[in-house]
Amino acid sequence: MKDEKKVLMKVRNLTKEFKIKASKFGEQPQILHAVNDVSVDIYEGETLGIIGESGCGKSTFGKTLIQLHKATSGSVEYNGRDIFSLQGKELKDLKRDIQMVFQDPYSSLDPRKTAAKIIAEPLVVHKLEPDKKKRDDKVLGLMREVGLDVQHVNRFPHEFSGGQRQRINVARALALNPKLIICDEPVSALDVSIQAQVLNLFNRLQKEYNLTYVFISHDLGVIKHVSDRIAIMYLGRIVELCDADKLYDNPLHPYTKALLSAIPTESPFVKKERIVLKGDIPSPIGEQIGCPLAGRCPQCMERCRKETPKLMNQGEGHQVACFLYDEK
Amino acid sequence: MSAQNTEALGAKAHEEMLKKERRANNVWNKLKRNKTAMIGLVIVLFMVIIAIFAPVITSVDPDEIHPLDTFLTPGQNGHIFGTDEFGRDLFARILYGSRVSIIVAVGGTIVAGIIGILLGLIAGYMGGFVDAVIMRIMDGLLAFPFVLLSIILMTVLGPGVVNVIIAIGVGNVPSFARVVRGEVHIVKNEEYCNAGRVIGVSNIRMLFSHILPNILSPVIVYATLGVAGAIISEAALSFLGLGISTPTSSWGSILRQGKDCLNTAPHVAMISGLFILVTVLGFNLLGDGIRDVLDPKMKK
Repeated sequence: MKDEKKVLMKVRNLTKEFKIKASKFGEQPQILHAVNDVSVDIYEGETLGIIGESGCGKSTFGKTLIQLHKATSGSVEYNGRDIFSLQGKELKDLKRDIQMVFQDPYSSLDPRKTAAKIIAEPLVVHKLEPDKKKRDDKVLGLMREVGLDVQHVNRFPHEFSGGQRQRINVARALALNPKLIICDEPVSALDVSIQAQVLNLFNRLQKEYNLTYVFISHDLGVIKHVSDRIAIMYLGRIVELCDADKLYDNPLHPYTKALLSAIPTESPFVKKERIVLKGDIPSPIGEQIGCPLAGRCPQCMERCRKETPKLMNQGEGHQVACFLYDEK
Repeated sequence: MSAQNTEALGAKAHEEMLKKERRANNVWNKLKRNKTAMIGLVIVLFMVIIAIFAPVITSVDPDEIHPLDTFLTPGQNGHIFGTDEFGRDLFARILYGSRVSIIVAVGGTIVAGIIGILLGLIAGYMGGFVDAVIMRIMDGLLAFPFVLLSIILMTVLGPGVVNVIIAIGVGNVPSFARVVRGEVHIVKNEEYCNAGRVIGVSNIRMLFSHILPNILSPVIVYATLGVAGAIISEAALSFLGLGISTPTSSWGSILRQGKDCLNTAPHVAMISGLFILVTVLGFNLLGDGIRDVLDPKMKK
């Protein structure tokens, strides 16, 4: 069934490294591996959830997809075209198809512009609606679509609540009729009650416009709610990739198991085994040898310290990067 | 139907409240509540008004020489501020001098502001090589003492109001560029600039539609305080004989004349000095007030 789906975006060996400037004169600059050799297919109409702890490179991954960061190596194909080689008009057209909703609804809206101007800006930039009257109508339509009161059209961002601001963000992203929206922790700055509203908005818009989401979050509950497939990231790598429902029932990677065991049970009477990983997440700075989890993994083998496991298929689209499941 | 009405009424009331809040938080209204800023503003407005209405306030020609009435003390023979070494009416000279002083100071600051903002925007936004080149040139300009730089410029350009404006402008460009560049560095990495990039906003639009409006408040504060500095600069240049040449009067040139007769007629230097002092104080108070209103974070 998977094979029938059209691949919208093909990410291959995407790597993003940041150079850290040497603090002392003459010192070699160190390299921070934010995203490391990530390969994933994004199917049309699905929601790919990306989950991982702080600093594991999930936001950097999202920003590299949308070219806010320049990738160090690897390729991203959108509809069969390498997006890193596009220039000029082609690049501008691509930007209409891929949009982003940012994490912080407070800083992602220009404080000097009204809601109407913010939402209209993509239309102006891409000259989609040269007629002012029609553009205003479209802006009002978008505001209604995301559940904003059209009377608030001339308000400034600081006059909105967090949830409303995030709705403005969504409206701005929708203005260009994108196919793919990268949501970088869009609800993590919001109250839990507002989170649900905004998530439902995302779900409704997906059905209406046949959108594809790459949904980045550190919240296991949120990811479970929205995702069709989930990728677990650890230290810049995808360690497990699986359909959402299967992942929660049958996690394979030791890190995923530990992560999922941290979800509190719904009933206080159910005893749950908690897998606690020892130690801290290792530094992403400098060269890495072996499996990123090797130092903390309870089932670590000799091989894990020497080689880096690649994502391997375990059937039914369940991929895992761990030597425990390598039949060799 | 009535439910709808109440809803509409509620929305209307809410809008009214919002308008009221906006009015209260309006920069002008905040400034009105700031007493020192208002004192500064009154002083500045007073100076601007006497500059504009100088011919209305006094009918005396500031350049008219009365060889018999030299060094009259204030109040003598109907000369409110007395007369100088040529018997020219000091009151009229101060009034007309305020025109030159304020025009030169404001003009110089505007010139410095426009060039400095443009250079700072480009340097801050482009970064890298362009940034390095522009800022090193600015550092080079800054390395010259202001007076030396002005002497060079005035020697090349020759005296005159426009040339003094250019000299003061060029001298103040580096500090403007630095302020702007620093602010651009902060703002350009804000998430809303990233959001603009995702949408596909061009560099020019990004600079002038998103970055510039968001860095404007510190620049306005800096410019207001810069006018105060420019008045002093003009006075210094004229005092050194490099600025406005005689017979055109400016506060600096009157001060210079007063220097030669400090013992016999101290009122010449004192009155012109007092006007410089009060005007600079006015601009400084206003600038501080605007800063308090525009970025409260900067308050100590």
